[in-house]
Amino acid sequence: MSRQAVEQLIDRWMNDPSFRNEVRSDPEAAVLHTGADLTDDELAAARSVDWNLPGEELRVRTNKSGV
Amino acid sequence: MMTADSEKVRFLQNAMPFGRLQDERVSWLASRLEEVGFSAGSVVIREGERGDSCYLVCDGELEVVINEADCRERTLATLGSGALFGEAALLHDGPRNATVRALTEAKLLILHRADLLEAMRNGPAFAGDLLDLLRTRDRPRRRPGIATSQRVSSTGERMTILTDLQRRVYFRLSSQARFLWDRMDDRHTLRDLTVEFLYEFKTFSPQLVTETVRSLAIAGFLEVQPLTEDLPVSDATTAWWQRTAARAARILEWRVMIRNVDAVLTWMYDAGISGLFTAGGQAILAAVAIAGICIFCFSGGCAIRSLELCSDFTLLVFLVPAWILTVILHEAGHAFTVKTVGCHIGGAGVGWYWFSPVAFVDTSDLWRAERRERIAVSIAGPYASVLAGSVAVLWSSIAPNSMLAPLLCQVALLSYIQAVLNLNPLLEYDGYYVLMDWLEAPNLRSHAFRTLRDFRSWRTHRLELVYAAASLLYIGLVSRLTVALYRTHIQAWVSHWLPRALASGLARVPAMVLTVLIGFGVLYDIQRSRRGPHEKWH
Repeated sequence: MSRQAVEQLIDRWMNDPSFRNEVRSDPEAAVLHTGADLTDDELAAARSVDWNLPGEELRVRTNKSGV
Repeated sequence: MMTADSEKVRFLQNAMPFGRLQDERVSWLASRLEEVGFSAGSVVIREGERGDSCYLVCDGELEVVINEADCRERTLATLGSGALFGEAALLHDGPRNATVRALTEAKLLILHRADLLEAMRNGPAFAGDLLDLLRTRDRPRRRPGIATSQRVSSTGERMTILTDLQRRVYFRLSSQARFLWDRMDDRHTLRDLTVEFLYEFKTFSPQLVTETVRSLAIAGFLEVQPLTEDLPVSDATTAWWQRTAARAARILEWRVMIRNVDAVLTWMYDAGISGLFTAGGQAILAAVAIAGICIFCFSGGCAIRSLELCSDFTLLVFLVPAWILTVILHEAGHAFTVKTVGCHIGGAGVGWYWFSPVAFVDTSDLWRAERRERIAVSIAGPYASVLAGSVAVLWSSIAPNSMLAPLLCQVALLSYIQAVLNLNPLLEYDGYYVLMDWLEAPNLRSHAFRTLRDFRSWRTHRLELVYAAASLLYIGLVSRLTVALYRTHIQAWVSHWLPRALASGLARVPAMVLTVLIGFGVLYDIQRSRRGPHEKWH
């Protein structure tokens, strides 16, 4: 899949909420459904969507002493 | 040509995000649209210019380009039928952030700013989707004044801690998120970031990229252009119970803090307290702690027996100041241990935390420290309480027949109880931070409540689930006890002046208020754990 095809896929994801939902429930099927011609590596990339947030705000730490 | 309004209506209904509008609003909007044609090569909007319209592509192909610093053009996107552009300048009240040029002959529908804002006022779902679209087209830019520090977790994962030095806010980035952070330079769009992320990590993760940018923006680590003041600001998305829960949480976690304490504590630490943190100093403190505990245990509960020897007045006059002193020592234990690891104290103060008053020190800067250092700081408070108790026991054992002896035994008992209670991990006391740091699970409480909300993650996040359930059970039990305790004491106090039945009724009022507050406090804890659209990005 060319970079242009990847970009089109991302554009679709950004502009189409229903596609976003499809990607969330079954990323591989959603990507294949667009008609994108994927290599094995690209299929694996579509499958290995990571839903864990890789960054987060760290909450204030207050070491308290209960009275 | 799309002359009939009915054709425009059909077109709008199929174009994102206008399909979210109700039918009558779509019809109204369609009547406000003007159709215009552009020949190939002509510029529709130009970067830097101001504008009062946005455009919907009916037909043709257009390219979005920006001018780089070296005056070369860079293509950001290609737009086709159904695409909306030009909305950013209207929603931000700023100049156009890119140039849009027709690549082929193009037919566009013009939507004026006033009509767009009117549609947003009348369609919250449409407004939400439009703002989402705006966000996904952002070119995120890091704010200046953010310090970065690296650390390696116990699992070997390399992490970056971002510190906003002005606001003292911290953000943790995994190596994946750091990859994205380094590219948030006002050049990369979310699409660029997603593509580069795909090539680097071999995962198609637009959701992850968007959420990372969104979290950083909400936490204030990115420069965010403000939305136009003309935009309808509605609090309607927040339900009454959410607002009430937030108010209850403010009461349950009320606090006053003095911020500028770090300089004084640093001076005290350098002036001599650092000696306690040498090997010799620690050996002496450990000997005192152990000796005190042993004497206390072998004395066979002297503190309980001594209760009979103390009048209420003596307890009040002696124990309250002594108790305040042990609390100060507890917090000093945390604060000076923070200084040993070279971190900053964000402040110190007093307040209320769920069931009782508290004193606290802000040790947020520890997020930059190693795991064992963070755990050491959290344990230092209870350890200081144990030391205070042991000193009291040793003092009372030197003069066992003095008047002070039974009171010192009381101080020791309270100090030891304080040390044990503060190791409770089910509310955010010292034990919670020990557990969180030991597990390398920052924001454990938020994650636990988030897991509780999402039953799909129960199987994969069992630890969080167990923590959330245990914490809720604990809050429930302690609430019940606290409410009963308050009611009994208030009733006993009020019945000195009022008939028993009236005193009993009156005593129920604060108990009920506390119950409601705690109920809403729990709701707030669960609610704020959600990562979602209630948080405002722009």
